[in-house]
Amino acid sequence: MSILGNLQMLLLAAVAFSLIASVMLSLAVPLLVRYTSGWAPVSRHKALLLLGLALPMFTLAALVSLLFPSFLAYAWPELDHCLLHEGHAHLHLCLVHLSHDASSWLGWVVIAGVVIGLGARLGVRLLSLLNAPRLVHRLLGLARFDSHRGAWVVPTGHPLCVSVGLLRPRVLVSDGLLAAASNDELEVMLAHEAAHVRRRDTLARLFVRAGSLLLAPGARGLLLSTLELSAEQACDEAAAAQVGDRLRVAETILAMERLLGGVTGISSMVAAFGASSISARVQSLLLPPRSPNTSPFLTLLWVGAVVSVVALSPRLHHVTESTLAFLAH
Amino acid sequence: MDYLWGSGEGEAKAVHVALGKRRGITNNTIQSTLKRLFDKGLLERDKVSHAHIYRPRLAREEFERGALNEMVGELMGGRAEAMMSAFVDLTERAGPEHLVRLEKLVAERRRALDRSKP
Repeated sequence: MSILGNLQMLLLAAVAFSLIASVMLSLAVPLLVRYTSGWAPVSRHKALLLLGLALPMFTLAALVSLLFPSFLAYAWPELDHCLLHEGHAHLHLCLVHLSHDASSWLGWVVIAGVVIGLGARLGVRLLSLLNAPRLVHRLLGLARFDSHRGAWVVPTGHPLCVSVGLLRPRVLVSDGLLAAASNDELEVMLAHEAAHVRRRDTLARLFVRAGSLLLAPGARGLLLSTLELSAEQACDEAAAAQVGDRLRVAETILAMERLLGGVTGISSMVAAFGASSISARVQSLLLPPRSPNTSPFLTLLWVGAVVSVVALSPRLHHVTESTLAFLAH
Repeated sequence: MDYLWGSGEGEAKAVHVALGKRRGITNNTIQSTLKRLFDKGLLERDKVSHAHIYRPRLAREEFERGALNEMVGELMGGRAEAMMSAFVDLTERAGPEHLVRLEKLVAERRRALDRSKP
């Protein structure tokens, strides 16, 4: 048996399944974005989150499907799946009866190409991700905690209201914002950011960014921007529910937009392309609230059940083996 | 910097006595650190006999304000975008005309809402 040959086949299978998933999902993204446009932001965000994580989930499901009979054979030798392959030369990857085929240099070139390509895309993002916690940590070191508002106050004149952090996100506001905004506006902004903290939106975004790296650039951009918009809209809805006035949230978004436009001096950067996301947010707030489609638990249960059934179905197992056979020849 | 803000000025040997011995840092490391801070413009120095006497170029408050503004600038420029959500996007702005149109839309809705109240 050849350990390298089997390892190579497994890695090539993972690459092939990822590429198949990438093509299918890149085509599905625009359709799902359009299909969910009328959904409640909370439900739309969940649907897009699942779509963003679908590529690694699909790859994992396909690999599980490929290897599942081997696991079964370990537990119950009488269920040895390889017996079914006798009599016809159907290529399969079995952990019980490892293949004797040696690895090929071409296979390693393909694997190295994918790893290097993915590593280069990940590397740049990883560098920015490593810088971010340092910046946030330094900023928090100079901020003071306002227990009344439940937020960290940064002593700067810039108008700032953000939630920062991945595992323990915190709300940051600036002295400049506290001086410039009214109490009503501050209440809306803090409710909006508190919703981001509760929902762990930054962490969800990070997972989707990593999980969608292999999607076509256009589809990935559309997915990430729509995901971002739906998260903002979901937090707008949470703020509206807390303050009891949807229009006040819309008014606060516009007031903050005007405040930032006057301060940062980058006001016309996006004007040429039409509107930023605030247009969609404000217009959504002018409509009555939409009720979420299903509970999060039910959604997760449903997706988990579908993935499990698909991964364990003999048909998918056959498809994965056929893909392997195609790769090997 | 903390030591020099507290004492006003000092040479490498004095900093080493105050900090280096306690933390197990050699005099050479202290000297090169002070040199780096001088190169970055955070310290100024005078040569007295064979030694350099270092003093902070900025008061602690001034330094912290500058560092904070730099950090906020980085934050608003999207440097921590990966782990941040802002109430409104910090790096994108709606055009002024677009903003006015949205404000009119919301104001109209507010008036309609106020009129419909008993």
